[in-house]
Amino acid sequence: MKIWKENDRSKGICSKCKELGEIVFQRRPFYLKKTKKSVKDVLVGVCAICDEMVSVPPQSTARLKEARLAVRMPLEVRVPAYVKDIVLLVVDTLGATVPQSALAQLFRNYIIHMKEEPRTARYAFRLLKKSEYSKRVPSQDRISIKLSPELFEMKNELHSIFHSDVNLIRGIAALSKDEVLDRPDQARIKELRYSILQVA
Amino acid sequence: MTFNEARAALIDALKEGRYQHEARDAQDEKNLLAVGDVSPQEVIEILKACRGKLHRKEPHYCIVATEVHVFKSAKRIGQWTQWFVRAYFIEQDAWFISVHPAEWEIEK
Repeated sequence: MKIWKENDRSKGICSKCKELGEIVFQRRPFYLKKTKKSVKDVLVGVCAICDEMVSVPPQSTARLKEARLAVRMPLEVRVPAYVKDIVLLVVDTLGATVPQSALAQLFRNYIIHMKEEPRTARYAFRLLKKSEYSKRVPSQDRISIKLSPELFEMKNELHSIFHSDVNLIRGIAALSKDEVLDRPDQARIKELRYSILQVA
Repeated sequence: MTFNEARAALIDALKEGRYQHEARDAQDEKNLLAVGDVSPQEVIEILKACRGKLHRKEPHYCIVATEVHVFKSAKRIGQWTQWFVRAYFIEQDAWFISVHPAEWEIEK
């Protein structure tokens, strides 16, 4: 990969001049619209005539990625200790080497999965009515994970089924136990393992 | 440039790092390669999974003489199973406009 430096020159199509012309590489703040964040000192190609931003070279990708990862929103709930036992057991069964990171990734995976498949989400909610989850137990433990703004919104949309963060977390614990421990679903296990190993 | 030629040239450009991204407003929504949500290798897999009937050409919105290649592809990357890639060439370098998940009916 070619590494560009400030004041290097190349060619690009300027959307303002509507021409193929010379571009000059410079460090500029780059605004990420969806993430709602401005990233400082990103190397970009600007039009040599009108100064319009024209290109982002691949070497700037890591800087943009790092800035986006920094935006995280907290999901924190108090749960009975056995709920945390379940998810720790599930991630251990999946081969996680760093349980806390894997646990967070497990919840992220299930939020996306249940948002895409509401039927699975409703099944998870039904699991909570089973006797093993319906008994009232003091919430002595805590689960805390960080979500991207996009996942946080998905989580909120799942409230139409689970009604609360606590039920969502308990539902994910019950569903993961069902899919990984009780009635192993090999396709889901493979998907979850892949997801968890990405953060190992 | 035909579908096969465009795809091969894009794959070569990705392998050799000869590419840039068009700067655009919604970079973190419309070009996930630029912001690191997908890797060059994953885009290569997306392109390899594309079939000719899901490729089309269109003129660049600024310079009509520049041919933009549009690829739709059914490939699972992370949680997503369908992808949309738009790119063109300036000399030997590839320029990506879009790399993002998409939804469409796969034609039989």
